[in-house]
Amino acid sequence: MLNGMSSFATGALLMVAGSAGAQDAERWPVPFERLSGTLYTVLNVAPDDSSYGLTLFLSQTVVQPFFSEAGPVASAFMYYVRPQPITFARYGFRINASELTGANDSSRAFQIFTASAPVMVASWPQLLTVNLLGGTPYPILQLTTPRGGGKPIEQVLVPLSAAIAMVRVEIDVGAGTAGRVRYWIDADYSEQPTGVLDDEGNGLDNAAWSGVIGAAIGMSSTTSQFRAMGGGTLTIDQIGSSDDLLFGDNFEFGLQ
Amino acid sequence: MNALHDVSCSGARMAVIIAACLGAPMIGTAQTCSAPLPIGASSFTASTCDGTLDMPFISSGTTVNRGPDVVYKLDGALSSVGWAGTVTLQPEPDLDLALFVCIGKCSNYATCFQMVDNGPGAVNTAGIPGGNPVFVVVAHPTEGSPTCGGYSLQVDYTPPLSASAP
Repeated sequence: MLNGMSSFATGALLMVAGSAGAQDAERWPVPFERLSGTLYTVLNVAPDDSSYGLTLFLSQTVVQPFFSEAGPVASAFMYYVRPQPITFARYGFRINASELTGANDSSRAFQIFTASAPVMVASWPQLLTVNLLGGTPYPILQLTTPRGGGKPIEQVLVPLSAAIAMVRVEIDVGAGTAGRVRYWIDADYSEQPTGVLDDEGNGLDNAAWSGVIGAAIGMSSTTSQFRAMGGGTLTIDQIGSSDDLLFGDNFEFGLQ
Repeated sequence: MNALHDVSCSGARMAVIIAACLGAPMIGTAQTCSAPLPIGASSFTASTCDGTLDMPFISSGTTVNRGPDVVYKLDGALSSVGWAGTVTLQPEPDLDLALFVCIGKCSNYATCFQMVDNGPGAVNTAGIPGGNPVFVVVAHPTEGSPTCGGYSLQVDYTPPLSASAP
C-alpha cells in the first residue's frame, strides 16, 4: 500500500497518510510525517514488513526540495505519554544505518531516543537521551542521563560494530544510589549489559525526576552538518517496551 | 519583564483597546511554560532575550532548544472545528527562531503538532486548530548565534461561531 510513496507529491502524501489509519485501523503504526515549511520527513513501514517500526527516508526524492535545506525542527518520530510516571522502564529498538549516507563524522548527529520526566531538575528534563553520531566505519551512540545530587550529567559514547544494531536500554529511577541506566547492544536483557551509567559505580540519584512520563523514538534535532551531508534512509524497527503503551503518532488526534 | 512588548493597538481609545486588544500580551505577565503569557488575536513585538531557557527540549522531548524561549497560551478555543487561524513569527534579519504550536498542558514532553523554522529572519507561519487551548513557543533550536533577539508575532483567527451568534 505504501510502496512508491517517495514519489508522491506533498498533497498526495498527506492524503494517503491521513486515510491510512481509518482504512487499516488494525495496522500499526500508520505513516507519519512532520512538516517544516515545505520540507518534510516521512516515517513509513516498508511493504510487507510487519515489524513494529519506522523508516525515515532522507533522499532528495522525498524530502523536498532537498534534505540539506531542512531546518533544525524537521523531525520524524513516534512517541507516547503516560498519565503517571514509572520508575522502571525498558525500551528496545533496532537501528539499521546501512543505507544512511554522510554520517561519517561525529558532528553529523541527531537524537534517536528520549525518555522524558514530568519534572525538570537543574534545568534538565530527560532521564535518558540517545543520540546517533556519525562515525567510521559505523555510527556511534551517545547516551546521556542525569547523575542527580547536583552533579553534572553523565554521558557515554558507544561505537557500533556494525551498521545494524539492536539497542536495549533500561532506566531505573531511585534515590541516593538506587538509580541506574543500563544498555545492551546486540544482546538481550538477560545477558550481561554492554554498559552501565551509574556515576562510575556510585549509583544515580535520579528520584527527583520522578520517572518516565513519555518516550520518543525517531529522528530529531539533526545538526546542520548532518542535514548538509546526510541522506539515504534510516530504519528503526523491532521497537519494544516494558511499558503497556504503544508508541504512536498524531493521526489519532486528527492533528496531521 | 515584558515591557518590550509593543502591542500594536496600544495608544488607542479605551473602547478600541477593549475590542482590539483582547487577549494581547499584558506587561508584567509571566511567559514561561508554567505560567505562559495569555494572548489572543493580536500583533506585537517582543524579544526572547527577556526570557529564559525554560524548555531545553520541546515537542515530546525530541527537539533541543539552545536559547531562551517565550511561551504563550491561546486559551479558550477559537473554533469548534477545523483550523481556526494562524500564528506568524518573524525574527530579526540575522536571528533564527522557531515557532512551535503545542496542545495540552505545557511541558517539555507535550505534543507539538506545528513546528516551523525557515531560517534566519524568515517568516514562520503555523496553523491554530480550533476546539482546544494551545500554547505557542518561540525558541532557538539551531546551533548558530545569535541565540536570542527581537521578533514580531501575529495571531489571526476567526472568533468561535457561538460567540457571534445572536
